[in-house]
Amino acid sequence: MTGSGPTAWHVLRGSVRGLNKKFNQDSLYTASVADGAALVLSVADGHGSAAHFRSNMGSRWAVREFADCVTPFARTVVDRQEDPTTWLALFAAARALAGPICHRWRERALLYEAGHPANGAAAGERNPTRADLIPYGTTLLGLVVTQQLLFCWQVGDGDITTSADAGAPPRRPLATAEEEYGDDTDSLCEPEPWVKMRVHCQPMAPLGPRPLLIANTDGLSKSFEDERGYLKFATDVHSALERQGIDKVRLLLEGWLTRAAGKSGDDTTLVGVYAGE
Amino acid sequence: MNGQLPKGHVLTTPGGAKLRVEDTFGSGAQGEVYRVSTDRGDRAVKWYHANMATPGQREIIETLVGRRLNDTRFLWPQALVTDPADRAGAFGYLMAVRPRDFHDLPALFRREVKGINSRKLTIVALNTAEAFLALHAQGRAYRDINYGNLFFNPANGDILICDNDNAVEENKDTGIWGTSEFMAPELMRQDPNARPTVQTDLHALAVLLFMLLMNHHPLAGKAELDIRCFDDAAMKRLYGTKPVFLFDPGDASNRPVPGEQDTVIANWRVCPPVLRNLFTQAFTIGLARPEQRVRETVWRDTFSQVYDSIVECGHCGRTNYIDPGANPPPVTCWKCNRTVDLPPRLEIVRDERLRRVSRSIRLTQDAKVYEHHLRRTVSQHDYSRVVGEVEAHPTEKGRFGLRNATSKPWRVHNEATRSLQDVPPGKRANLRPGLLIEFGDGVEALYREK
Amino acid sequence: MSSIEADEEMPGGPMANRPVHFFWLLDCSGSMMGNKISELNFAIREALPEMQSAAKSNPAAKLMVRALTFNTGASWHDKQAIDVASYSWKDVHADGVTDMGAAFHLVARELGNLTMPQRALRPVLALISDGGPTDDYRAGLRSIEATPWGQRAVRIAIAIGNDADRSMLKEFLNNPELEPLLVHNAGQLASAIRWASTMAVKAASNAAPNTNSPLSNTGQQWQAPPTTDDEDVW
Repeated sequence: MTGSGPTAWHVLRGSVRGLNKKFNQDSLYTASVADGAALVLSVADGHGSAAHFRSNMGSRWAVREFADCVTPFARTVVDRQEDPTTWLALFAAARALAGPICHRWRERALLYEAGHPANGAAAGERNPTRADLIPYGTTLLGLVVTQQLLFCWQVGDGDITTSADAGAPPRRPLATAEEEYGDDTDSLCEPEPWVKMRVHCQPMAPLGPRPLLIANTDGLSKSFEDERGYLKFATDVHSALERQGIDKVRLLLEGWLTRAAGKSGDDTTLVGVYAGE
Repeated sequence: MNGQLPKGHVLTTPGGAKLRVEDTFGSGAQGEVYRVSTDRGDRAVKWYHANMATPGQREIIETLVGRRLNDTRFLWPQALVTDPADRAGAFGYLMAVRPRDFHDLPALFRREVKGINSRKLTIVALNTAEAFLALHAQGRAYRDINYGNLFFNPANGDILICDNDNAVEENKDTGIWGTSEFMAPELMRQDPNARPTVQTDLHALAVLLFMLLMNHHPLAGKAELDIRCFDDAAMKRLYGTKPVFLFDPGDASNRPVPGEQDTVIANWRVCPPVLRNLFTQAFTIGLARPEQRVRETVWRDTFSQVYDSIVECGHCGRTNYIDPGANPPPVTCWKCNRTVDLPPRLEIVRDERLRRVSRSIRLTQDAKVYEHHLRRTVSQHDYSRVVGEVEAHPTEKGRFGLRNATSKPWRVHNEATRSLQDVPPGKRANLRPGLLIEFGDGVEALYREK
Repeated sequence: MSSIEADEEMPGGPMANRPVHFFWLLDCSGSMMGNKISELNFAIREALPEMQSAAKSNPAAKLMVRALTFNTGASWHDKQAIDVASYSWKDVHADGVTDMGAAFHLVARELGNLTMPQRALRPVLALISDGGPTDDYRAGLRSIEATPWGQRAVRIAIAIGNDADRSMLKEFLNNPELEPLLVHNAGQLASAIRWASTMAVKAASNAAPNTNSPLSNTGQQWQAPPTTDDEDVW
């Protein structure tokens, strides 16, 4: 975190269109907040099938609304993080943000739908309801990272993975006990999506001085034969960062995602942050 | 080495036990939880993050270990755990491993818990109230009741309460004030003299029970949807200075919003009046006046009665809540919209402090009489202790009996013939109008049509 | 191209295409004897090249084909699932009654036992019949529904001639908006099978989240269930 600690944060980002897809329905967002003392990262995977023909918009709004919603929170975290007695309250506040994050997306989609009805009706003819949001369906994965604390939010499939160092097994703190079958996924367009939102909070200290954190759409994980293969991806990227440096990995990332998109057939998007020299 | 304990690392307890780190159960707000192997099998260790491993917390753990709660529903700290290789004073505590078939509330809300139904959920609620009763009866406050520390087994309604690392006597200061959505309004407002006590636990317990059954927060209606980002002031308003119950009969300003908060609307509709009244008490007058909060015994006894009045719809088989007692208001099945036919009920009457008290069991096809129905004081409901159960007659259709599952005979009165008859263990008392069963010790059961 | 490959250049473990399992469920009862069964054999042979090219045009998916036949009882026509690229058709023969329920049970067992990874794409069940079931097909359908992949399967039904039990085939489709394809002659059968085999592969491999669930595009509205109930609502 430039200026506020010994380490510098390096952001990784990349997005590749799936094989046979007309356009990429994934979105990503990364920004630094409070002069680099916090990072906001997110990816979203628009469902992309016929029923969700506006999901490219849905995923774009998801990452934007997420960022707008958590940015003030990230500033608060920066202000309070040095006092550990505030942490539990910050963790509770992060969980409570599930509602506003989902609600903002809904408002955004409903506003657009009212002006440009997906079913071909004239604008303003009737008030759109929840069911009218299906065309915009998307997942959402987001992170707020500061020197002391990590916050993760997730609706639907995809992965958030933490790697303490290339020697320690990576973890997926929000992995569910039962992975979803096929392409079934939870979505922001479902009723009351905040109950489906998983939230994880932890101090950064257990991740050591050089952690790698990544969030990716399922196009990446589904390109591997199994979960182990995906976790090894996180470990291998981490060791590539340690051995070859951030610039080299940034150059290679697009090629890796392209390979993955060729296997899974799905749009493949990754954001990450690495604490390096 | 980074902050995570590596596999194979050895931790110790003051008693000299060696605990070998195997793998991790996960990382949480206060610490990491590891699976450790001991010479008595696998255990779990909660290992505090450096900033959470304060001398005050260590003292609390030592206090808790020194005064255990003998209730299997709590994953109580068993021993202080330290790291012989560490000089910075890190520590944790040892506890039993939470079995895999226990799930948390967020999983319930996400509909990931298979096999749960209203009967099991009612037992979960009952167990929760009863477990906190056991804790509170010792003068201890839990201080941070929230949906992260209750786990339940959908197969039988058993519960486990985790994170018991602040459950010391009421008058001790632990520095823990609770989780905002569960904090009593006076704590949220930081009123002078307000501190976490059993009375503030009672508010959190009511919120937890509401969330368990309604899958929604009791104060998060229309007003919550106006919050657009992290907003301390708005949270304080919602849970502290201006809390309004979703279904406050005198204040409709915070009703759930149709189309956005439909789950709670649907669940409230099927909630039996007896529970609605308790929730209304807890979240109207109980918000402002801690002494008016619903007590654990009231919750427990109500859930116990609600359980006995759950009835399957005769048309579609779905379970419906019926108000306990005689002549309940008619219920329309939430699933198929047809009127639920009420089976007759068994009224159980017993002495309690020089008066007769009664309670009812709806005689569904698998209704049971449990030990707690017959006893005056119950410290723990146990739904495996069956005293009697309804059975269909092997040949005569439509005829049912109550089988004596105890080792002592019951006696049955017949008013018409003025005769008395024994029901030996294993035999059944025919269920019919006018039936009176004597279970012994002054406990009787009467068959009632409505 | 091998389906699983580890790569020096690529971080991570072995990569693999996502399998699509395609099941032919073929009525080989006595009523199919004669022309109909040879037309069926011919139509499937004809459809194979198109299936192969459909699979080729979607290299992200790996199409695995397997047929089962039912008459008096049901049995696997192919011993195991075979990559469509190397799949060749062995003629089926007609005899006996129409134990469609037995076929459903057989495929349900396969769907339940398959070590199909959860990352697989939705399987396809293509049912072809010229008559009505002679056993308890509903129990068979329920056993399909009882498996996670059965619930998610793309279903196709082709009715040969007017004697086919179309209402039952509609039940199999389990979607009020879909009708079985009705064919009367060899030409129609061939084109229906061609359509079925290629469209179904596309449908299965185009990501369609929760098509059999709340997000369904079948016009079913999601209804907030009272959460305090049975496992089927959860």
